[in-house]
Amino acid sequence: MDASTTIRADLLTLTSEQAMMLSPYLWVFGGTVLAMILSVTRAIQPRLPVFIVSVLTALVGMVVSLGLFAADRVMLFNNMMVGDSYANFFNVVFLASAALTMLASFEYLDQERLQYGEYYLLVLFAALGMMLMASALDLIVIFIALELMSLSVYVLVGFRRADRRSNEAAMKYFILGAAASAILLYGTALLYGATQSTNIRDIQAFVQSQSGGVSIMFTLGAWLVIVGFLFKIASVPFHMWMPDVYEGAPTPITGFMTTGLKAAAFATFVRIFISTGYGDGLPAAIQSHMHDIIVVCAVLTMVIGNAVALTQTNLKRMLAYSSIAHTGYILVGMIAGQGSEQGYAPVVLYLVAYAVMNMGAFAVLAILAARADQGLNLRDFSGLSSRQPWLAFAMSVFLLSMAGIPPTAGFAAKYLLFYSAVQAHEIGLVVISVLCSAISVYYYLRVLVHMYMHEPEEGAAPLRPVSVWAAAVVASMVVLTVQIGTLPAGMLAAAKRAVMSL
Amino acid sequence: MLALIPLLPLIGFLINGAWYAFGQAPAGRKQANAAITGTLASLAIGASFVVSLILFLQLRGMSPEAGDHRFIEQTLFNWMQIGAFQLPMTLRVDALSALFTLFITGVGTLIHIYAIGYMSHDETPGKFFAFLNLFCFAMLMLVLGASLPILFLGWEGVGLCSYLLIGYWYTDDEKASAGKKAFIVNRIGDFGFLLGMFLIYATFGTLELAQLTAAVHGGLPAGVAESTVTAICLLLFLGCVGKSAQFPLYVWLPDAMAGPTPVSALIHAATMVTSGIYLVARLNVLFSLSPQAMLVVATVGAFTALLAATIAIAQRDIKKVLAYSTVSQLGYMFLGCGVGAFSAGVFHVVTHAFFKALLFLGAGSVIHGMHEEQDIMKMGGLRKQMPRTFAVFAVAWLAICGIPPFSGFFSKDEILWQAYSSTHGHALLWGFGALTAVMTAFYMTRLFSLTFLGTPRFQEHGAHGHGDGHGHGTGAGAGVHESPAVMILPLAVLALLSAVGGFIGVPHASWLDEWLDPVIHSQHELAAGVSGSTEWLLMGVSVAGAAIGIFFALRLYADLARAEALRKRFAGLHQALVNKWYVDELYDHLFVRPIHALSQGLWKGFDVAVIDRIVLGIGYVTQWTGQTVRVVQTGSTQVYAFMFVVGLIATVGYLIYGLA
Amino acid sequence: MSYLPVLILVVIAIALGGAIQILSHVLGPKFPNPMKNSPFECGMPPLGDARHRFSVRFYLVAILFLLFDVEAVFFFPFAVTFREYLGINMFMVLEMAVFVGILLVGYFYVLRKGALEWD
Repeated sequence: MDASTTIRADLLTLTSEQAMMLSPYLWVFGGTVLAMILSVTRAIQPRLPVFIVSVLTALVGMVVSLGLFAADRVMLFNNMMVGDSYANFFNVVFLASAALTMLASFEYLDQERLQYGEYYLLVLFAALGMMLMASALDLIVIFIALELMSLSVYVLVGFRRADRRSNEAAMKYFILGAAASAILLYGTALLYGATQSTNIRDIQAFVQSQSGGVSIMFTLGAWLVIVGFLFKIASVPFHMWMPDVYEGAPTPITGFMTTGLKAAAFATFVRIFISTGYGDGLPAAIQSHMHDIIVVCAVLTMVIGNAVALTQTNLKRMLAYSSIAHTGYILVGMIAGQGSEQGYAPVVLYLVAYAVMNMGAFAVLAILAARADQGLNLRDFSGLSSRQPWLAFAMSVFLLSMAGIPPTAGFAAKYLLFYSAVQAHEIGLVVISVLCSAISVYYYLRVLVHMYMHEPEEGAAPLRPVSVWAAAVVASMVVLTVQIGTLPAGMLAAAKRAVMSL
Repeated sequence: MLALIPLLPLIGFLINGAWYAFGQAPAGRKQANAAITGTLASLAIGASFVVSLILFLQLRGMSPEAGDHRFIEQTLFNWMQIGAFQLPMTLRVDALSALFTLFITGVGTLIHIYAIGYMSHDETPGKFFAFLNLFCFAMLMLVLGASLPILFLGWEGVGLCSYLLIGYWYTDDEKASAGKKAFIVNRIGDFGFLLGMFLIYATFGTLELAQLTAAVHGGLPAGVAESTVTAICLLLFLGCVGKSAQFPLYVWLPDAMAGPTPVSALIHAATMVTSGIYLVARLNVLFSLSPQAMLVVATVGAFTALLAATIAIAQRDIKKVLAYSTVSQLGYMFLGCGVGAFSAGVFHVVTHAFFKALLFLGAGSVIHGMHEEQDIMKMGGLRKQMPRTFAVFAVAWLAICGIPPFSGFFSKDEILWQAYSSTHGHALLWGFGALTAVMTAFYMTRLFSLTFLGTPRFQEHGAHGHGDGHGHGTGAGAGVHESPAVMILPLAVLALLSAVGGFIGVPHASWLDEWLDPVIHSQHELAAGVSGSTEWLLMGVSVAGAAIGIFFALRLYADLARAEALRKRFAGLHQALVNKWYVDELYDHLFVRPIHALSQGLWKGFDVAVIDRIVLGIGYVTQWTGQTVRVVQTGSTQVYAFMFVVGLIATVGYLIYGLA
Repeated sequence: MSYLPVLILVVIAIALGGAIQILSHVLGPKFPNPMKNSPFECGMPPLGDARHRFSVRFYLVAILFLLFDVEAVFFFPFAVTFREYLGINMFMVLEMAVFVGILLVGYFYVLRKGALEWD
């Protein structure tokens, strides 16, 4: 060995704080491995054990993360990862979303004859990838975590192997996703070239030290990394994959993608965004240009998402486009984050609120879906209030929440988001957002009209009884939706604390 | 501790509600027994009463020297925070709210117990008791809220419960529309309340009641015009007019009698309708700053009192009579508040809660015993069949007529005296009040006489033979019976309270005045030219007036033929009274139909022609955009990838171009 | 100047490779037939329509090979340096044990799933 290599003893041990901070990750990984072994054990019938172990893994991991929420920040693995309130806040979201997805899937998979243990394993692996993404500080780690998440989800999207749409969706998602990953990686390389580091803290410090502006290479690298994330969150013009994928994926997985995956992409996006393009002390030139582009993206995202959602008659596709629209709203919050007093807290709150209501809505869809995800057209919802009054009620709560009508989570979140945009003097953007969300009311309420004011279709297939697991998911989401809507202070305080720890 | 008071009924509601929604509502499930659900609900509100009592004693134990600090506060959580505006969920009990809490939970408990008997034949008692508990929760939030938004939360909550309970038998169209009417009329008032609240925040920068009171304590704060305060008070008073059924928004209350009788007693007599008086008394310092607003309050109160009393004279439905009587008595309370005698108004709220709850429950007992007969012309002579109900009803009758030493006498007399003597008062206001008192005595005696005295006017055999064998066909008189003990017992307690409750406010030695002093700064200054001896004189006049009213009514209705003759002589007037001065018809012509016509016109002329075109136009444009964008969404991966690259190149180009 | 050995290595490699090719071409006996003249590929006949189907197991085995092969690459740097770190603590050995453990779980899974069975 030559002299340039120094042995850093501090990297050869874990302090107790570090071990504590890592415990949710290790727990989830351990649980996943256990479930994996169980799924190929021949001595037992693996259907139920794998399900239970997987759900417990996610739920216990969630509780552990919740317990760590208030802990101080701990740097991990030579500053490649960090355990802070922000990471733990999102860990709770990811694991909750994973657990709820699995609970809502159990019955669904039985019906689709897809009851394979791998489904739960992949959900857990994806959740682990999300957790690592939200806590990573190094672009390489982010990339690996992103790939862990994405690859699991690619497979989950194509999980209905016998279904052509499902296969096609998975293929498209994989090809375009690979392209996006490549762009992200290329951006990382350029950033490394410009700043001699892949650590986003170091990158931020480097940029802040450049008083005379930054090089083109840096700008290009930063933008390519951001494009990688704009793809993952499906912002226009990088959104094309999304409707096809959402429609083709098994319904619970679509729910998982709109909640966990979107939250993960945004969580990481915020970390990167404020260090490469839009944070404190970055040169004004790059800030203003990034700002312009993101504003255009946000406006296009809202307009196109809402406009196309208007013309959809399939609920799954409609929710997919509305998901694009919601991405637009969140982008508004990201633009405003720097200039408002609440910072990025409204973005975080919106992600949680959106995750809650969307999880619920897709759980309802999963319950109602006939075999092979048929029967999710508007007319299939006619007269649902008389056929399944509780489900219709729950669906109404979720839809009203997405439309942003009080006293639901969607209203509180949207209000705070737009309020922060007003504070940041983005008045034009707010006006467009409010107009767009007014348009959205139309297509959300259309479902309500069908559910409550139309007679059931002649010869509609009788509905299956609702499984306990799925009912629990729906009920808890209704409660949360209303709870966040009426008492947003608690959740907002948590979101603020998470953002403050960034 | 404090939080327990509203929480206990809420828990009761949740248990009963969940049980009903999941255990009973699904078709085919067995309904829970009224005894079980009712006991559960009664226990919840009863426990709340015990907690209120403990807190009341705690408040009493606090040193009176530190009178201004005689309150207990508890912040549960931070409800919302928007920018600099903070809204903690704080409950606060002081002298005034302690009083209200006590009688809400106390009378509430009695009525819950009573309802166990009354609702024993109902089909969905679980739902009924869940709503009743929810109402108690909302009402307690209303009086315990430390800031206007929380008060407003309770305010809307009681409105909602009132709507749900009026239309409780929703399968009956008339009853369901009575519920709707109450809701809509109340909306008009709530609108005023909301505006008043906004104006308060804009003017004083706070919605905390304590801060608000402190801000205006020493007179008008600098920079606030008296006209602003007047506007605030009038807007808030509009809310009170709606909730407390004053002219011109009183029309919903008589219709609200469609609900079950315990509901009428609890919500539409004892508690909810008095929340307007609570609000005025709570903000007495603010109201005192605006003589004009005070005058409006007093005038509306006095006028409503008289108007409702006249209508009550000619009604035949036992509950309608009591409903108009309630409107009239609420007018009294506002009269008291309007002349600056806030504690007298609150005093009357308390005594009225006792005797009016008793009257309603007594009426309920009669209705129950008569098998849902509500027409007093078909009653009579019930003192034999229902001796206990008769006895307690008599106490309530004497109390509302203002015969000493029953409770109504003290509170009514206090209001009348203040109406005459206070600096805000006027002889004319007194005149209205005294006249109302005479008429009250008259119509209540009429009710009492027609119901309990004289000879039975329902089927004789039913009355004599207790209905065995005959009289099944017509029903009304068959098997008239006294109510069970579970209904009589609460009546007895209320009778006791109605009899002696007035002694908490004996003139010149009033415990109540002293107790409320930290909250309500009573004005004992007399107007010029009024002496102490006048007080005795006026008292004599009002008692004599009541006695005359009772005497005439007893004479008149002892012989129905004479009453009939009198009715014929004044047929026109009688017709007007029976039809409630045609106010409902007037409103129908003045507001309902024009609005209907206007909305028809707007719909055809403006909505369809203009708005629809604009909306549809926007719709078409968005739809068209959607369709166009969808064309790109071909499903072809190559196209997607191409768009991806185009987007990438465009954005990168802009960045490079901008920075280079 | 320190790259001189590399240059020498490259020159020798090219010279050697070229020499062997040329010498075998010149000196070797030639008995050509069609089979021998066809280009050689692993596993499947290289001639005919490129769009015909063949078993997905080729890919499965190839992917698994790639996976385990690449993972084995991590052993080399470890093997080179771990002795030095042993002097401080066993952390690195533990880490490698975890790594191998994960690898074994994966292998166990693959085995049980029957991914390595040809039929």
